[in-house]
Amino acid sequence: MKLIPPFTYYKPETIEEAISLLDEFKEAKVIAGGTDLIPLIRDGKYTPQKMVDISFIDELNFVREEGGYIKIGAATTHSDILNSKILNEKTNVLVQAVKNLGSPQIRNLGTIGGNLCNASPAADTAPPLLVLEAELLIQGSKGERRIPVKDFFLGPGKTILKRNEILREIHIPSEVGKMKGVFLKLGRREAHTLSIVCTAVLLKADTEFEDIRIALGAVAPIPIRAKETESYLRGKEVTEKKIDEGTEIVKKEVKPITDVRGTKEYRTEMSKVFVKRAINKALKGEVECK
Amino acid sequence: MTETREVTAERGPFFFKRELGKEEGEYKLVGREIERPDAFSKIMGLTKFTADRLTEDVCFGKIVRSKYPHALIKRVIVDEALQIKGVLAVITAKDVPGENQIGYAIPDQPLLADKKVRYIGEPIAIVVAENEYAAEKGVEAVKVEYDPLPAVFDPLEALKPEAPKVHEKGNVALTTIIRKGDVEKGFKEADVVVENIYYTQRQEHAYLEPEAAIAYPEGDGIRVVLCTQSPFLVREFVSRVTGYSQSKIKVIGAPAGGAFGGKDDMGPMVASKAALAAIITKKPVAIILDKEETFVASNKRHPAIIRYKSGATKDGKLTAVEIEIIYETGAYANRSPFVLWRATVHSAGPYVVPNAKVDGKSVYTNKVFSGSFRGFGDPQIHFAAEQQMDELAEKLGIDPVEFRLRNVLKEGTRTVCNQLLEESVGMEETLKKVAEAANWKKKREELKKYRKGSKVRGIGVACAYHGISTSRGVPDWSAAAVLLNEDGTITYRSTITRLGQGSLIGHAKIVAEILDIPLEWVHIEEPDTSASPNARPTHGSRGLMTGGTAAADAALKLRRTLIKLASELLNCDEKNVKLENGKAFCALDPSNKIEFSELAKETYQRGYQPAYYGFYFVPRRYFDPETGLGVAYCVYTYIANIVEVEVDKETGEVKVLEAYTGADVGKAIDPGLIEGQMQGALAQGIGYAISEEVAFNDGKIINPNYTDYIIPTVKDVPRKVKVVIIEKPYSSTAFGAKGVAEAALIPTAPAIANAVAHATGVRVRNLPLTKEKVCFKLKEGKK
Ligand SMILES: Cc1cc2nc3c(=O)[nH]c(=O)nc-3n(C[C@H](O)[C@H](O)[C@H](O)COP(=O)(O)OP(=O)(O)OC[C@H]3O[C@@H](n4cnc5c(N)ncnc54)[C@H](O)[C@@H]3O)c2cc1C
Repeated sequence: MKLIPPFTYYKPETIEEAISLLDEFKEAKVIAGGTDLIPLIRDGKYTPQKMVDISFIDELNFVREEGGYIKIGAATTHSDILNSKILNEKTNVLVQAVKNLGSPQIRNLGTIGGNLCNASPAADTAPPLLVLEAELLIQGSKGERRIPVKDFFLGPGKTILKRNEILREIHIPSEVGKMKGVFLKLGRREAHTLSIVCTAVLLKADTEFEDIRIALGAVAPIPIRAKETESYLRGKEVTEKKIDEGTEIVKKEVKPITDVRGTKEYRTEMSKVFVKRAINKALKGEVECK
Repeated sequence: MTETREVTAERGPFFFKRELGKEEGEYKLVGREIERPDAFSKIMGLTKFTADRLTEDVCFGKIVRSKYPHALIKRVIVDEALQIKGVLAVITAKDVPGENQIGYAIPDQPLLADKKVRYIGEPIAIVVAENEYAAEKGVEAVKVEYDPLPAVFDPLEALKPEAPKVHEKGNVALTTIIRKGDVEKGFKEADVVVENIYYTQRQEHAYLEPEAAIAYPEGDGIRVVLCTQSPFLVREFVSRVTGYSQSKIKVIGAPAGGAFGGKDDMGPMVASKAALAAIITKKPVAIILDKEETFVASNKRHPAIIRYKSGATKDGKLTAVEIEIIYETGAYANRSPFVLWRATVHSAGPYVVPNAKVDGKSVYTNKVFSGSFRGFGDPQIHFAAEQQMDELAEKLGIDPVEFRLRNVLKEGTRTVCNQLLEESVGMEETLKKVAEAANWKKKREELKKYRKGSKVRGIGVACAYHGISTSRGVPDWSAAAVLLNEDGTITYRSTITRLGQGSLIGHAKIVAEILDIPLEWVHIEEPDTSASPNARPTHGSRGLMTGGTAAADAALKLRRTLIKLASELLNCDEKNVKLENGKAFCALDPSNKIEFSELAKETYQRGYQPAYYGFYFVPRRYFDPETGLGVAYCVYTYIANIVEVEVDKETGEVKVLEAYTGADVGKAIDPGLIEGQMQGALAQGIGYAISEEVAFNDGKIINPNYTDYIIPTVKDVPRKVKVVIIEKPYSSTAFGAKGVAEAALIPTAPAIANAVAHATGVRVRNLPLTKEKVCFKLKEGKK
């Protein structure tokens, strides 16, 4: 473990100010809650000379509905997401994911933007946003761009963000509120732990699967959608047998590794178990939160 | 071989009732739960732990550690480090003025590695600097040239003749043995025999406060403040390493943010380094480990491999056990001679076993050394012993509680070491009461039928016993001082340390009870070797039993003095003098009285001795190292745990839903403190059973952090925990108290494994019962 080296700390109040600081200082690093970054610094993986703290920027702290989207500012904390009336009412699959993320202390500091930008394969907010088909609004000095969340991750710790860009907002299409969503996570203990596998399922079904979207975390270099499983199930009758057959495909779609958290074999097995459980739970409408 | 126990002084409950002239129900403090006097400052963050005592002038020592698991050190180049601004010194083995040796019982461990390193993380040099950053840079700048050697990481590999030798003498640090009766005959008499191999893992103490020591050069001596379990042991080691006489070394035991045995072993090591650095630089120096260093380089619970064979007759009586124990000690023996003997002595569990053959080996490997950890060798052996009991019971078709009850140790029976148990043997009562509290019979039947989706439930039991105080018959004693101040308050001194367990609060209650004064009048001083007599270590669950009995001894002496004095002042016969509620009065005329403060003043005025040294010598034990037979411990704490679990057969998740834990503690000086210890030990036992494991890759720890070393959180411990306290007093100690701190951890893992077997029909003999392991084991099916 390393000491936290001395650094210059900037606390911009507007996005513009933050971007211009990043433009000016090549060695600057964005910090939001610091719950990913500080441990990385103490592991010696970063030694930033300058840190730009974006957690005080009002324009990055909000949840609101507008123009057919539920919009979330990137510096919104997990606690604020957990308590958001809009998210709880409209589509709570993201809320479910955040509910057991870390601990109360971590949720009070950690932000949704940090969770995504850190690009951990196990980031718990990624699978819900993948099934919600959220879009990300990215801000740079030359303007903004929008990309679907599925194109955001490049590999462990890597995103498409350029050094002087920040993630500004997350946009969730409001119409997904009509689908039922479930998030499930398997960790090595009840809470306060990284996922061995996590999954989000969003579906619309009565006697058959009208629509179904499945995403998984911690079982590939980046959070993934299980497209083949989805297309197998789409249009199929809702039966135990079909669900079992369909989720068997998940095992081929995941590409897990063996590490101290779990073996490839266990993660593969559990991917199926958890997707199946999430589907069944969504079908039963057993979605409790808070 | 004689069998009479030598008892230095008859104490126990009857003695105290007579001496204090009270029935137990009349005690004001002993036996009653009180609000902890230190609770407020702990909750408010006001307690000063070691690292909270840093001042501006204190320099920092940081440690250069081995990058190889096994290598010869060719050269340590320090020049570049010395050039760094702020670096004051780089200390290597050759700078040690005294002995460069901190082996505990076997002198095999250098303070700073000189010729060879034996594990990744082993200390080689100390960089001392004016600030932490310079010290860190200095550590990076020290160049160590190594000659790597082949390493051995597995104890079974290490036992092979061709294995690399961790130490010159070979890889067996020591062996232990029990030969009792005739095991061959015993197994012939058995109707059922069960034989299995059990594996247990390395556990990290995971205390929140890492090891820390601050050393101050003072006059011609040195003062060291640190979190420790034994200030006097620290003094002994600091003296050995620095060459200073013990009288010139002052050790202060700061409150510890958890210890669990880890700080017993690490205290002397960290303190010696800080002291060395302070002496060489002539400046106060702090050494504060970070959490990663603690994970990588501090002692751990011994991993074990245990082959266990046991037999019983149709009517449910054990006939024989044959046990082979391998405890991996890692790079150094450290406490292994004591840990392994303790495991050996307790290897049959709390049962009567007429025939036994036990062989123990402590084996070196190129991994971080093992050592003291709550339970001290007993959790591993009970994990095996208690699953054996369940399997025998199953084969015999006898209920597991009933089977245990047919075999438990009772007064008048003998342990596996042939020790005659004369008193304070509460195993039977403890097990019965815990089974009753858990509604065992009914649940054992009902839970078999429980099934919800992939979830099944089961209930399991395990017992244990744990000898109090030192192992191997090493003489043990404790001491304390009670000083009456002129205003009637009491200054209490002991070097039992504050680990969060509250032993000293127990001591103060004993003193206040004996003098019959309010607890607030007893001021507990900070443990300090220059001011307090030697209470010896805070380990082996002995802090209250031995330290508290020494406190009682001192308080009784003062009480007798005060009674004599009051008799004189009140003109009342000594036998009629009563001490009550901070007053002395004559029983014949209660209005004839004197306030305690007045009494205190008169003590000085009239030339009575106002301060006493209390001493307690633990009844002598002895044993024959050739047979392992003898009197292993003066007394034992007996424990029973019952847990209800839910197993998710698809994921392998094991959840402890309810737990019942009971112990025969002799006498509960404070039921609240006992409950705290039992609950904490249970939680730590759940971690040991289900999720904790130090993982390695080629000798390197790959989870040296709380991200990947998984301790239970509040959500992983059962909502319902019932603590059952049984009191079978011990005649040698204050009020009959025994020890309890380690107790509840010991049978937790086997109780969980037995409950999992009840729920699923599948036995896991390999700790921890992680989700993944249980999941694949269930797939594999019954074996
Ligand atoms: C004890 C503990 C438990 C945890 N448990 C979980 C868990 O259960 N599940 C889980 O998924 N994670 C967990 N985490 C990880 C972490 O808390 C989350 O990922 C959190 O959301 C990170 O947010 P942050 O604001 O703290 O990020 P920071 O640490 O501030 O930043 C993380 C990274 O993102 C960059 N960044 C942050 N915001 C932006 C932005 N708007 N634009 C561009 N770059 C940005 C930073 O430069 C940095 O590289 C845990 C962490 C800890 C310490």
